[in-house]
Amino acid sequence: MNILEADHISFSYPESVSPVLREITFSVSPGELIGLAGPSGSGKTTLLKHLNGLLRPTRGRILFHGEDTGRRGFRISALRRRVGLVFQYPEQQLFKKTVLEDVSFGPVNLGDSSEEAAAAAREALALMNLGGEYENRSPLELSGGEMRLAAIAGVLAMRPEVLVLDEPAAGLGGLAKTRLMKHLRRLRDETGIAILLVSHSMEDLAEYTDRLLVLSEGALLYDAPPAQVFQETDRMRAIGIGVPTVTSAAEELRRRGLDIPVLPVRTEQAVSSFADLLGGGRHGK
Amino acid sequence: MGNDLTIGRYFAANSAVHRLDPRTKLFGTLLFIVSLFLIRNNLTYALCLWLILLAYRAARIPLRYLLRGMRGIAVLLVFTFIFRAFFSPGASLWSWGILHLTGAGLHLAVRLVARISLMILAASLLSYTTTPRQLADGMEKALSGLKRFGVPLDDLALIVTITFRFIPVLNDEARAMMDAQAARGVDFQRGGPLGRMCRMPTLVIPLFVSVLRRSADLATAMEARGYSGDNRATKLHPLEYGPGDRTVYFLFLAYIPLAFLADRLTSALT
Amino acid sequence: MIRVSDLVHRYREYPSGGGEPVLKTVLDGVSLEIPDGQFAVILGPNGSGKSTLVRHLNGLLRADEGTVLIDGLDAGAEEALKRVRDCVGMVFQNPDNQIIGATVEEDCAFGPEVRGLPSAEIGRRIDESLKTVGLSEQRGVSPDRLSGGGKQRLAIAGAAACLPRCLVLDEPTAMLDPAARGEVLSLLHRLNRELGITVVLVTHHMEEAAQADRVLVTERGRIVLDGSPEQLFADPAALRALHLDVPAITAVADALREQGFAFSSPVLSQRQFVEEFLRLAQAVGGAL
Repeated sequence: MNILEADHISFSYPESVSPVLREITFSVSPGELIGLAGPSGSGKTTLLKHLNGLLRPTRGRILFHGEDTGRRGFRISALRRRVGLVFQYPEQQLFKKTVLEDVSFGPVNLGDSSEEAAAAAREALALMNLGGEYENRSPLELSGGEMRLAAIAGVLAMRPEVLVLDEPAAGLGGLAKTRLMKHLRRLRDETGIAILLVSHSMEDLAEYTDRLLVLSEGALLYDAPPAQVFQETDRMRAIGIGVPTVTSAAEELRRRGLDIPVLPVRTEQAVSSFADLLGGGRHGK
Repeated sequence: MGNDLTIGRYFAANSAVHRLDPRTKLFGTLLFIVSLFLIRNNLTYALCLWLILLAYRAARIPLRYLLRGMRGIAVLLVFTFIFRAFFSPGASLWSWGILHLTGAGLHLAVRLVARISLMILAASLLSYTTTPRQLADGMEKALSGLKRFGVPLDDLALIVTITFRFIPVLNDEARAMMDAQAARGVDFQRGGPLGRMCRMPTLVIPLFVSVLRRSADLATAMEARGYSGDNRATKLHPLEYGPGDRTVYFLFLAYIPLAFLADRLTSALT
Repeated sequence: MIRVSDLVHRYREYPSGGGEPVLKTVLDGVSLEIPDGQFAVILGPNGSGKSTLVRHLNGLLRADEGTVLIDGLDAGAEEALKRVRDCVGMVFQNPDNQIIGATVEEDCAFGPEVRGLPSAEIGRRIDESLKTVGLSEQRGVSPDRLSGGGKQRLAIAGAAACLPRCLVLDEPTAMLDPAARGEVLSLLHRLNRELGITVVLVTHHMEEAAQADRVLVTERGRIVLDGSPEQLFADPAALRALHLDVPAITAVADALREQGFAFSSPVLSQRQFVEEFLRLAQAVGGAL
C-alpha cells in the first residue's frame, strides 16, 4: 500500500493563470529513497509543499494511505505529522534555548506531553548522532553542519513515515555533503522510513536514490531508477539538469567509437566499466 | 497580507508624473492631504476624487492598481462608515435595534470615508510613481537645510532606501518561516488573534536573528564597497527641477483657491 | 599584488556560561604572495580561517601581528583604507545581503557614488559593468526579480564599477545551483583573462579549484598546501586528511590508476580523461 500518492495533481497560484504543476502522478512506498530533480523554477518546492498539505492542488488529489486528503473532515495535522518536510537551510528555524527544547517543538505542537516529546526528541537526536551532551547546548552554538542535523532531527521527532527534504545538502562542501547523504541513507536502512529529497547534484542522485523523478516546467517527465533516466543524456541537458560527470565522460568515449551499451551513472560502476573496457584490471603497479 | 500593501510599491511606467522631481510629488501629496482636512463640504470631495483620478490617468497607472490599494482598507472603510452612520447622536432617520441612522451621522461617515480613501489614493499614487530611492533623495534635498544642524540626512536617506529594498525579501522570508513552522505542527490560523499572538515568538525570534545577521552582512558589504559614514557622496541622478515641475507647481497653486471656492459654492448650495 | 607576511589574527571568545574570555587564534602566522593577474582559489574546512584571511585583504579586519600589503599599500593603516578598497573589490556569499539598491542600476551605482564621482562618470561605469556581467537589459529591474546567479553577477558589477585591480570572493557560489555557479565562474574567468583582474576565490567546490592557476589550502589558521591544481589533486590522501574530496572524474582516474592503468596524476577535466583513456585504449588495441 502506498503511503502517499499524487493523482494527476495540477496547481496554479491564485494570482496567476499559468500552472506551476501539471497533472503530476506518482507514489511513495515505505522504505523508498526517491530523488527529485529539475531546473530552478520547475516547481519542485511547490510539489513538496503539496506532500504535507501546506498547499492544496487546484486539480487532482493527494492520497494518504488511500484516503483523499482533500475531502471534508480530513485532518491535515495528521498529514503534517506523518509527512515531515524539511525546507532548505532548515537551521534558520532554530530558536529555542536548548537543542532538546527545539527538537521537541514539533511533537509538543502536535499534542504530545512534554515527557513524550522529550523522549521522541532524544530518539531523533540519537538517530542524527547528536545525542548526549548536545541536548542542553544552545542551538546557535553548534557548527553549521550540526545545526542542520538538529533541524532535521526536529522533524524526525514527529516520527514521520515519509521524510521530505528540499536540498538537504545545500551550502555544504564536499565531505560534509557526502556525510549527510550517507547518513540519510543509513536512516532509511535502519528505520525503514521513506525519503524523498530534492538535489541539484546528479552524482548524489545517482549514488543514493532508488528512483528519480524529473520535473520540468511543472510536468513530471521521468519516474524511473537513475541508472535508466541518466541514459538519456541529451534530454537531461535539454531539460537543464545534466548527467553525472562519469556518465558524460562515458558518453564522450562512446561517441569516439568505444563500445559502451549502458552508460555508468555511479563512480564505482564507472570504474569497473572503464577497467573492463581497457582490458580488465591489471594488478601490480 | 503583504501582497496587498500598495504603499511602498513602485509601478514602472513612462509618464509625465513619473518624470517629475520627487520633491514636487511629495509637496503635492502633502498639500492634497492637508486640504482634505480643511474641506468642509462633502461634495467637494467629489472634486478631489476627480482630480486624483486625473492624476492616475496622467501617470498611466491602470485602474486595477487603484482598486488594489482600496481593497486593503475596504473592511476598515465599511466599519468606519457603519459606526459613524449608525451610532452618532442626532435625529433618527431609520432604526433597527441599536442601530440609529442619523443625518448627522451619515454626513460624518461620508466625510471620514472620503478622507481616508483619498488619502490612501494620494499616498499610493506617490509610491507608484516614485521609487523609494527617489523619495529618499527628494526628502533629503528638500530638508537639506537641516544638515547644518547636524541632522544625518544622508544616512537617514540610506536607511529608508535599504528598508524599502528589504521589505519584499523579509516578506518572503517570513512566509517561508511560517511554512517551515507549519510543517512542525504550528497552526497560524487556529485560535484567533490570541492564539496567533502566542505563536508569534516561533516566527519572530528566528526572523529577528535573521534580520540581525542580514544587517551585519550588509554593513560588512557596504564597508567593503567604500562606505565609511563620512563620504562626500554624489548621485547618479542628481535632482534638478525641470519645466514640467514648474507647471505642476502652478497647478498646485491653482488648486488651493479652486478647492476653496468649490467648498464655498457647495456649502451655499446645500 | 598581494603580499601577506606572518599574519596573525586572534579574537576573544566569551564562554556561554559566563566567565573570563578565552583568546582564540584564527590565523596563526600566514604568509603568501599573489602576483598580478593570477586566479587563486582558497580551500579549507569550515573554521580553518579562510574567510578571516580574505577579510584582511581589503582592510575589513585588522591584523594583530604581521602585515598585509596590497600593491604596496598597508591594508592595516587607517589612511590607506580608501585606496586599498579602490584596489580590492569584495563579493560575499549571500547574494541578497550585499544588495542595497532598489534597482540594478541603483545598486551598481553605490560604490562610485560614495566615492564622490561625477554623475556622468558614474553612468559610464555602470554601463560598462552591467555590460560585462550581462545585466544591461535589467537596469531598471528590482533585485528581487533576479535569480541567485543574477544577484551575484550584480554584486560583481557593483565591485567592478570601482575599477579594482583585484576581486576577492568569499564562497560566492555556495548558495547557488550548478547552472548559476557556472555563470558566475565563467564571468570570473573572463574578468581574469580579458581584463587582467587578479581573482582570489574562496570556495568548497573542487571543480572550481581544478580550473584555477593556483590553489591554497588552509587548516587551523595556517596554509598547509600551496600549489597548482595539478600538484594539489595529485595527492588524494592528503586531501582526504584535510576533509576535502576530489572532483568525480579525478577520483575515477585515481581508482583506475590504482588498478594499474597509466593515467596521469591527477586528471582534472573530462576532456583530459577522455583523451588519456582513448590513448590507453588504442595502446591495448582491445575495445576499438
